[in-house]
Amino acid sequence: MKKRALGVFLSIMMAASVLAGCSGGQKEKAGGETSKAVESQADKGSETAKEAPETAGTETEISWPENPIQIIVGANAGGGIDTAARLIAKYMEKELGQPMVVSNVAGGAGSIASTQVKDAKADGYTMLVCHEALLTNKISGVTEFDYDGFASGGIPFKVYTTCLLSKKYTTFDELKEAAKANPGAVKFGTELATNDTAIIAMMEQKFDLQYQLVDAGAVSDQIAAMMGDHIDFMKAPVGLVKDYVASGDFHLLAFFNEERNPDYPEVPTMKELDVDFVVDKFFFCGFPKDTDPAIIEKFTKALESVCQNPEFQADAKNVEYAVEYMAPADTDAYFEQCKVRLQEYQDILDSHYQ
Amino acid sequence: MEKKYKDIIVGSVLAALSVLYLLLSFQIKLTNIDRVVGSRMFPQICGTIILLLSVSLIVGGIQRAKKTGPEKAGEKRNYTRTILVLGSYAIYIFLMDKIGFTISSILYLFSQMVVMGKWPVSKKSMILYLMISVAVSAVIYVMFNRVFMLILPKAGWF
Amino acid sequence: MGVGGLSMFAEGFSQIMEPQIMLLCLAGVILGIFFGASPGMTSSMGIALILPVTYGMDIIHGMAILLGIYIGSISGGLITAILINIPGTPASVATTFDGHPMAERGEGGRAIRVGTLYSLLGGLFSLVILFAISPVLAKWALRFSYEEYFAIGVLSLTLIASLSGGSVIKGAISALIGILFTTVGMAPVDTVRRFTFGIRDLDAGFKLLPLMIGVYAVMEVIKAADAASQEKMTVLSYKSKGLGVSGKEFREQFRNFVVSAGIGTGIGILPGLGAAISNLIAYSVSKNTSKHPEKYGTGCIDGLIASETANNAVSGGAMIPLLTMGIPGDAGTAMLLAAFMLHGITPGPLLFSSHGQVIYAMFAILIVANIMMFVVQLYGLPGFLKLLMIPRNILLPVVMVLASVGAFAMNNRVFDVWSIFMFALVGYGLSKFEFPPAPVVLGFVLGPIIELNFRRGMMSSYGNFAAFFARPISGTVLVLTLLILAYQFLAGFRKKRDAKVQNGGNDV
Repeated sequence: MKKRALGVFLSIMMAASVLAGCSGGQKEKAGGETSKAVESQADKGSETAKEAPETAGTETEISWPENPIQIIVGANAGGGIDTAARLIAKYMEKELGQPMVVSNVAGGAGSIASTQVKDAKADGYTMLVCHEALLTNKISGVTEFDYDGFASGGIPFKVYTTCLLSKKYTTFDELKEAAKANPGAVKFGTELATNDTAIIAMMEQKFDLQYQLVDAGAVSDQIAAMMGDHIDFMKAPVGLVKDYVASGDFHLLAFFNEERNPDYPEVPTMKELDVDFVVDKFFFCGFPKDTDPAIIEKFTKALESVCQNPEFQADAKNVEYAVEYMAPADTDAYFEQCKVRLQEYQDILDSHYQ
Repeated sequence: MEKKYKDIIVGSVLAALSVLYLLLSFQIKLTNIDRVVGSRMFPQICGTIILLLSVSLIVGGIQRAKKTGPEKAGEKRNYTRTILVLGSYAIYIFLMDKIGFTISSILYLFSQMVVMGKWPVSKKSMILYLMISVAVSAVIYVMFNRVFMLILPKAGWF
Repeated sequence: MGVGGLSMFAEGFSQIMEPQIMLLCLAGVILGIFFGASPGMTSSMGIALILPVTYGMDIIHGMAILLGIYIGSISGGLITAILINIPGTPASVATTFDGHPMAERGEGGRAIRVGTLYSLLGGLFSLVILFAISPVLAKWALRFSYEEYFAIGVLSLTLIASLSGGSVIKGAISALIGILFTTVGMAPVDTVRRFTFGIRDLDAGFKLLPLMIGVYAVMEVIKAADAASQEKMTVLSYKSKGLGVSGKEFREQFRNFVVSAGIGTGIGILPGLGAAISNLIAYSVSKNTSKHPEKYGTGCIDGLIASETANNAVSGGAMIPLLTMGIPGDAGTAMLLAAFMLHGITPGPLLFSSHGQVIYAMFAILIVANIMMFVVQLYGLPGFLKLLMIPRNILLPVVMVLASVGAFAMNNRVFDVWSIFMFALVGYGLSKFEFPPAPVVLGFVLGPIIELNFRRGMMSSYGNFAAFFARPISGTVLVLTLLILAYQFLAGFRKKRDAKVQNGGNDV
């Protein structure tokens, strides 16, 4: 009777080993068991950098990572951040030699995930992948921290393809006309807790029009809503709606960049259209603040190397993510720059919706 | 606990809790983000409904209690096992990240098997329980740490 | 852009007819059944674990195993639901209502056979729909907006009151308790913190899994402990042979089957609902439209069939929005979407033309996976039943440990395991005071859907609730809901009046 249960377990393990065999490359470091045991003792919140003599030719290296690393993502599977995180995981696993497991913790515009990582043990086994919501959440008051709550692991991707889309209207002018004809009836769908509503504030102020704001959730929900004509226009990175644009279901109204997107030269920028909203979209890798700098160093070196991998770049191109590695040393300044703009937009938003 | 008063008791508790819930709901902030509905409306609607339902439960309970005559004494329920079951589980959770998942699982499995089994416990049973506890914890450890690469609560040694 | 074309199908099948793909699919199905049967582990967890393993494979190999897990896990829940009264996944909650009583009568084997057969039939039914009319259905489903989802959510809740098996008021309170638990945490839309008292862990609110385990599994543990103290441990014998249903029964149940399959497929097509809702709705519709509703809950196969057909029928339905528009219907399909994206495929309107081969291969895999699930579950049946010969006091603690692992694994937080304990206390209270637990689960699942869509709908109409009635679909559904509510209250009054007439009937 006990044998049966064991038999069931064994057959399941066999099934699992078939997969483990098929995957190829999920090897664990030899000797991980004992050093893990020793390390965990010293663990209480402090670093775990232990220098182990390596084979001849390399400098003294830390033994991190010896366990799977968890990547926390503030959105559901299949979306933009999730795809970015999984892309990073796919290639970084090979560089670091340990599996990287993506964990989806949606909610609070990504703040639940970012708070979770910020307060996690700083042993290098929990990290965050997020986008610019990290900054906007502090500015709009959802969180009390932004990048200062983390040790920066660098930025692998930027996105220059955030655009305004509509199913019903083919140009931005048409959108304005419609709003003029029916004030308050043309609907913009977005995740309200982000500061995308500043766009509408600006449009309303600049052109003296009235639009309607509808909370429509994440990009995939917005797509469904727009296809069903429950919203009239939305904002999304082109990579997530490529097919809809190609099929003609959706029309590109404008891009939120400084300059026109070379792949879509006929589409104007919002700046040209008199709405000075520029999106600095990036994907950021963050670790808890007190993580050992040696771990960060190893991580970011691996990240840099992954960014130079042509396969990685090809995968990113598929979803229109631009691979532009930014080292931790530079991210702080970059964020401050982004925040200037974001704060401006928040101020417009606050003053508009009194 | 008298059976006929059950509904009255639970109805009153629920009513009190729903009042508390409604009072607490006024601490929910209203923001500019959603000014049409806000995050208070839904909890307050639900809290009100449950309050009304609790009250009707009390009323129904009173009516029923009046009709029912005195009850014969039912069998006395022994709550020892229940308390032990819940208690051992609570201790298990508490220990999980203090002495490691595997060890606490062994302790929990063993104690739970004893609590849920025939009393007094025979030596043969104890040995069986111990063996199974260790075996199961080991299998789960291997399955989840090696094959599935989930991350079990860690502390001390495995 | 039709979905038909037998030649395309043939090509799809020919693509997958190689041993490695078949083996992967089988491995997936077995894993899926294991995850589905284990309370504490869900379908999306299984897919999430295997997803990274598929990076190195091409998309068809990857889909073979992922879809195997997806199909296996929806069905696997019935095993534990029937045999130990603990649903392995929320999709099998309604299976416990009649499945477990059948097991207590010694018909556990038959129950599993019936459940498995109808899981297969439900899955195939939804696949046929998927193949035949998915573009049409997808477009139609798009018309469902916030008001419609709100209406469906509310309608589902009222239907569940009929599951209370007694007091409608208690059923409604149970449902509301479930809803109230969902209001803890950061609110939807504006992320305002509600009822968190500054406790960080509460920001994310409570999760369904700990609730299911606390309310179901722990209750079974307590029951078993009590039974042991009264020397009532019996080991039942299980008869089982064949398909579980005779030809005659099959014909009798046909209408039940079609309705349940339709409900399951329909719910699958609407993103955001899912199998957890479909099995309960199908069960209550089946009960309410049956000629012998009083038999439900005592172990009649109608209820079992309704539940298991509907939950598997969701799988085919959920593929429709996923493949035609790239819109995931639930956590499991969201992972499948992630798998697509990672392989460079963005599902959308062009998917059929640009990756038609992959789609047809997937259809073929889905059919094969359903059949494999059927075969594995039937073949493994003697094994499952033997598992039941393990004394409860050994089996259930192991289940609890597995469940606790699952809860922890959701987010690496011991808090989630503590939630199990808290819900166990809630479950204990519910049982002591005779409140039905199933509405709590449904309330918990529907609460966020109802609130979110209520708020979005109101935003769309500038706060004008009448707009919910103005739209044809939502208006009809809401009116229907009100009618059902009225009917149930009247029925309740009539029951009380009849009881008074009988003079002396105390227990209601």
